[in-house]
Amino acid sequence: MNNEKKGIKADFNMITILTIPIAIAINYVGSTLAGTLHLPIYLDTIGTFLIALIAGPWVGGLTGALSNIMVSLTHPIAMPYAIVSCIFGVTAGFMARKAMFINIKRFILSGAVVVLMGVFGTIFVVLTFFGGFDGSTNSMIIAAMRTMGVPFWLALVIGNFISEIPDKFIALLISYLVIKGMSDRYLYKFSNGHIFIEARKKAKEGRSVKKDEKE
Amino acid sequence: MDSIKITDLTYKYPISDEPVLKHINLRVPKGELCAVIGTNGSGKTTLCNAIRGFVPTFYKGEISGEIIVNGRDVRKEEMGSLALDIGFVFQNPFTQISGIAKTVFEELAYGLENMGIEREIIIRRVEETMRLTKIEEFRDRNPFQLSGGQQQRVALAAILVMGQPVLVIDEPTSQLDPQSTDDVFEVIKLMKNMGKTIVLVEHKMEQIAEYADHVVVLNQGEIVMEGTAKEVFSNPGCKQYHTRLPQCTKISAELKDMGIGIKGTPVTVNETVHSIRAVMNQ
Amino acid sequence: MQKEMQRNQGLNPLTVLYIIVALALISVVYDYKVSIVCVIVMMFIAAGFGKFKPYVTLWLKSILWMCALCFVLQIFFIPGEDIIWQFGVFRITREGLNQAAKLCSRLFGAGSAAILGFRLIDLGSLMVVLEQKGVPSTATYILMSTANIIPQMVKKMGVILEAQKSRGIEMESNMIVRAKAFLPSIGPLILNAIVNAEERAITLEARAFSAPCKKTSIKIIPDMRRDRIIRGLMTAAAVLAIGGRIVLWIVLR
Repeated sequence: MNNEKKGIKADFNMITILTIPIAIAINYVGSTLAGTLHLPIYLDTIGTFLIALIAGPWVGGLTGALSNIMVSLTHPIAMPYAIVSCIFGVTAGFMARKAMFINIKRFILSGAVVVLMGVFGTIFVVLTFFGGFDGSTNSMIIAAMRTMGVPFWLALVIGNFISEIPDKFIALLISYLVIKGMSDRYLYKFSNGHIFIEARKKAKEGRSVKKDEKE
Repeated sequence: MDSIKITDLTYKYPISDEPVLKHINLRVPKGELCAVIGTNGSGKTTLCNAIRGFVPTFYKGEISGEIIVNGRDVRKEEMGSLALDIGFVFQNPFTQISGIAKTVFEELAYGLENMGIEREIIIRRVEETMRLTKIEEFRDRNPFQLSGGQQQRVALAAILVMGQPVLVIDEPTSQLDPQSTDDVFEVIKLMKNMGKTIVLVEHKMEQIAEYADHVVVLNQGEIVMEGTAKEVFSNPGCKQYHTRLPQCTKISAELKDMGIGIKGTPVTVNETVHSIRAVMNQ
Repeated sequence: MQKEMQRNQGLNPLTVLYIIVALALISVVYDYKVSIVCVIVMMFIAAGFGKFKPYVTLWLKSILWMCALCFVLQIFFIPGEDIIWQFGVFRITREGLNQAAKLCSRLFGAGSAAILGFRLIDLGSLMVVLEQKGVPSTATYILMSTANIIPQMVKKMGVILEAQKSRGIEMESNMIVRAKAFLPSIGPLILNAIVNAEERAITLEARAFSAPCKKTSIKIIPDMRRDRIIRGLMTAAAVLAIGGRIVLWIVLR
């Protein structure tokens, strides 16, 4: 039946389309809250990761790009970074589709891949559009390293890893926790949902097997 | 003619083991209001979703049996095209806002725009519906900024304006205060008087006794009783499926227990007043 | 009466979008002198729409400040050989200066255009026009809904933060405490919003969102000869600008 439609079109079902604006709003609220609480990280990708994990790479990529476009209407500097946000969504979505977010080991590995892709993307954007310095806190760190004599490229790579690693891991962790709080019935409606549901079932069975062994 | 005809409907959600609806058979003649009552989890909402075709298209899962609404086989129709035949209103007023309209006027127009109605006709129909449902005062307000009761009236109006002959209304007052409940039932009464066929899920038995032509009691996914409000509420078996009876029915039962000879089982306020007067006159 | 109103409504939002995109493109492909001219033109356009003051206020706060900061960082820290000025570890190189001028000029032009669009275009009207031009209604819905949901969620966030404060979580306390406040503040907000999406999907289906009909709109957005002429001119200007740039580039090589 049409329940079993596959491909990009199936990724963009009604509930997913309605969740995209919410995910964009989560990105916005996350970064606003991080700002209000004076946290040293951005946390502006929680929504992108969340929707990428449950609805796959294409939805994730679109959400990421749209988020930055929305922000750039008032903060135009965010516009070029739409590319990076798109990369985050696509990468996280792909890893999730390969069931790479269902336990801690895989989570860390996937997180590392996401960060790596993000750092590449950021360096590309910051070099192409801003010559390496976009006026963010991160570019201050890079500038500081330059004054200490660190070579340009090395400063760029180190600076970006410093800012991306904690931020993306925490954002991924939050979206992962939110997915944990979702019901099976709800998850089922998204194209990646069944991956998480099956993982839950297996975890449950695993636990009961262990119990049996003890007894 | 039957507007809604359900034959041997059984449905199971994708992850559950037990079906939520079991061998449902139901007919609702054109222009009648059919009330569905029963405890939480008895399958009332799922039945509504099945009539509108959200089950199984939207919720997935396994279904068997037949649902004919307005002569159309719901299971064979596209979910989108059923919107033209069946109106749908549910509990939560806050999520029944389209999310893209700036004013209540635009909110009401939204459904008609989606149906491809001409601009002039939309404006005329929206004006008329706002007048009938008495929401003209909210006309230019942002729908997000209305109270729950006001939003629910807007939600009902936004469906009424679309003009579908069959309406499915799922617990419209469960999150509302008594005044808003009365307002909502005013709109439902209006819908009934316009000749709509209505399936209404509701916990407020007084209103059901007042407005329903037919009452269906669901229990664990099965229809366990049906008939007129009087038949259902006066049946002693009724109590085992849901906790409440209309206040009037309770009062007259208590009076009977006290040895006052009230005839029959009144279910509406008017009937009760009559019966008590009759006894007092004797 | 109605016709008169339409005449005074001004340009079609799509026309405004064309003007803004054309100006942004021209200022991106040429150097800072052209960018400055483009931005001055934008100021005039804003004034023409009676939005001069809000535009300039936003422009000063975001664009000017941002470009100045980027420019300073770039001239000092972009690596280069040809040193023009030096003070301790701070040095300005010719390469850095050229690069900074080029990049900031682009940022200046494109950024000014973006916020001009934000000030001048009513998203709702633009979406109606785009839908009439054949953009799928799911795309316009996503954009419209996003614009509506963000302020809703920001408002709810404010309420939650107030509640957190009253529970003794101080925004001024140390970082661990503040970090710990993050998840309980945003978690319920996210879950709630996501669960609501399910019901909103039903609402939209009930309102015939995916009904197989050609949609109409109660909004009349005039698209007059003037609009079509301006759009044609803008397209031509953008194509000429890019073409000219390519020619210049080949000649200079």
